[in-house]
Amino acid sequence: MPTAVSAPLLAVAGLKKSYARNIVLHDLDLEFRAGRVYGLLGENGAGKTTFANILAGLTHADSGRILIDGQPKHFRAPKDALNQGIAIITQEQSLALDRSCAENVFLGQLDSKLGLVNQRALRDRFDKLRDDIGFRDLRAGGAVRGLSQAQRQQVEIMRALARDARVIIMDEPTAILSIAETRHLLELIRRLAADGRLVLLISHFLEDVLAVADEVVVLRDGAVTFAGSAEGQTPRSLTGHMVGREIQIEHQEPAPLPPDAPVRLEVNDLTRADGVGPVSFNVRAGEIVGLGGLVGAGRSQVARAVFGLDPITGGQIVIDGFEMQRPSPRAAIRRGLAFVSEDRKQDGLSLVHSVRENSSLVVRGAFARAGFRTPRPEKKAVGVQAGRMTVKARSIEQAVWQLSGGNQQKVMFTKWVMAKPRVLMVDEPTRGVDVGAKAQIYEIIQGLAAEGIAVLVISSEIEEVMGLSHRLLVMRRGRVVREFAWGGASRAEVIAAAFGDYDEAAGEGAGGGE
Amino acid sequence: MGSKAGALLRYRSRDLGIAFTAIVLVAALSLSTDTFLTAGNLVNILDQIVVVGIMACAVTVPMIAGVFDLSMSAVAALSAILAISVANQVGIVAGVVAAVGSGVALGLVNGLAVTYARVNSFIATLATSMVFRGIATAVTDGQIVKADDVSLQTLSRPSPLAGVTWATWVLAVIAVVAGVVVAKTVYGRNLYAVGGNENAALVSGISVTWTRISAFMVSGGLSAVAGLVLASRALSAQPSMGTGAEFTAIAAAVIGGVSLMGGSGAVWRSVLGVVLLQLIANGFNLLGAPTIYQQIVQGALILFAVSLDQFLRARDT
Repeated sequence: MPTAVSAPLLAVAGLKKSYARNIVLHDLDLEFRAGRVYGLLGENGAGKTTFANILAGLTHADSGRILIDGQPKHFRAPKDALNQGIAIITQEQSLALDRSCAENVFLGQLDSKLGLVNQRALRDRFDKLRDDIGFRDLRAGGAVRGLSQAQRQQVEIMRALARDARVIIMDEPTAILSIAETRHLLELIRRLAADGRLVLLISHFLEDVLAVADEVVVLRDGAVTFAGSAEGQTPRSLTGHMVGREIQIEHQEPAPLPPDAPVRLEVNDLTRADGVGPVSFNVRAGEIVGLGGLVGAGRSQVARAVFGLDPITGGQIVIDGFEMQRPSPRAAIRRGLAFVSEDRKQDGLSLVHSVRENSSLVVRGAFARAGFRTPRPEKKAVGVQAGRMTVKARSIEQAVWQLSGGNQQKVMFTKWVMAKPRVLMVDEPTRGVDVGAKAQIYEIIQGLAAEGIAVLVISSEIEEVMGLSHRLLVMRRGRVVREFAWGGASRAEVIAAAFGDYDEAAGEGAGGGE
Repeated sequence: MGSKAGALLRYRSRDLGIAFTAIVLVAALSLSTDTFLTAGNLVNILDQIVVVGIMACAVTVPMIAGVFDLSMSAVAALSAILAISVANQVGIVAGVVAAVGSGVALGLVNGLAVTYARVNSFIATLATSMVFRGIATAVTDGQIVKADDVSLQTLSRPSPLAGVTWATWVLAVIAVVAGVVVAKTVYGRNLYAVGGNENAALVSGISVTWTRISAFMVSGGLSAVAGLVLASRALSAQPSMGTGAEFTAIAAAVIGGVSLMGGSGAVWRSVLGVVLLQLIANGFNLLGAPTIYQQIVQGALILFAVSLDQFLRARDT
């Protein structure tokens, strides 16, 4: 039980940080006690990750103090924070992919015998730690590269524990996890706190935070807007603290389709070499079809295959009555297909380039005469479309990496809307996007459907796919297992369909369903 | 509009740095020597930068697309040998055509190795450069190949225009054409897109494979032109000619501000980088300073340019 009288395990006083002229953290004063789980919330750009990075010694505050057990400490490098028992598990994992689990866990503290690594001692230590913590399916000798995202995260957690960390900071740990994996992680976080550790959980997933946190700290524009017990808080009240007003996304029933709306995208018995499929579905003009299911159920794989990014082994892709013979992104684009892909940094945007350059990438040929670019019409068209997509930037010449996640996502939409698509596939349209931008992105998607575009929405957020779609298709293990009409299912029914029966789902979660 | 001007200014401040350095060097050399600002010396400088200058223009194209070409001097040597052999038997025009054609073909080999065989461009072109130079040695038996037709030497002779050599004009034309293609055409746009994020380019319907292969063909063809200029100076070609010139060219491009990561840069930047390096070399000559120190200064300049780039990036983040 919390010891309220002693000095807090971790505290910050007057912590300030700014980048260039941009103030990221104003004067933070916070206390964190051992044995408790703290949820750190805020919109993108609120300063959560910067705060966590300062605690972990990854970056430095401009002024202010960090106190451990009441003693001020100065962290020059992550090593100093680690020596004080603070470990961070970041979104970008820091593992040596080709080394074994055990070597990654004990990196920097390997057992050696006559200068050689003592593999046996290493394995024994690994096995003991693993059994204590209960990550049953990690093997000491297995290379990290072969592991799923969830398992890699477990290796990072073990590394933190191997260093006897008293403070464990996790930055968006559940973003990459399936529902079952998330549940396991939240249970583990509770156990870590029960052992007397302090866990600081940064997350966009308010339910996850409320399920596990004792205390909540909400940041807005680098200042604390709420710090206190998680008890009595709801997703709605927390959102209120985050954005300064209560935003509730209430999905309206989508506009009814005209009965004669033509089928724009038809997929028949599509199969892939990785076991996804056979999958069949169609999307009509003006219709929003949701594709739900667990991470690893094959949703993105279907979209990538339809777009010609990955090869198919069988089946038919028909766009507007035209059967694709040799699917490729170019052929797909020519037929009016657009694809807002899942990971905007990986395969969506060129971050060093401007809003304009990214936005006109697909239609680059339209703004040229005899191969020479015509910048003026390009600027005008991008300006108009970026405005419609409510992109907020200093100018369309601003580099995309300087924009928030939500604005980057809107640039993705701008890029594809420029191509005047007939079919639009969006994969995780609101991942890493703050609440305000989320509502705007929903409006964008609904607006595009209202213009007669056939839209396929893939999302791990159940409310999102349920609320947006005329029809929701739930995938499990590479196949569509259920179809629900809008309002035709409860959240629980959708989850049940995604999991199949419960026992199987638990097994899938432990195996790291990637 | 004010913020736009601010962004423009910040963007420009980086460019001003390079131009400023060049101006300071020119001013310093003009004041400290009587020989720098003479027609003879300036014509000389402009002639000396031609080979590395052409290669710097050439390598800018694949570098923007996110790949390196380390085979340029080997391509230059092999193409020049072919040019002289063909010129000796058929004629000078056929020789030039053969050289450029073979440069493009060797570039195609590089492109295929990097795209279809999926070899990292650094290693792939390092390997092909060994192969190309090996072939050059094999076909010549390691001997110098002499040109019979002295008209090849025209390139190294002064032109009636401004008194600079014909080779200088070749560089000027290449720099302008390459600069326009990179900056103003859809093809140039594709180069930046592929170098900026190849996956995003692919999803946007750009053929990453073809863009990179063609970039290598451009750098191969231009390397052959550099080889012709080298051959015109000695009226001969040999397997070891130009060795290492591509490293100077890449260094010049980086000094000028072409990104090592791909996705940003410009032809004029590479040219300015070459000019800077040459001004330093010229300064050492004119001042009679030992040339060993020249390497130290040039090396330090490269380190400085790259670290400045990193610093500016970190500050902007």
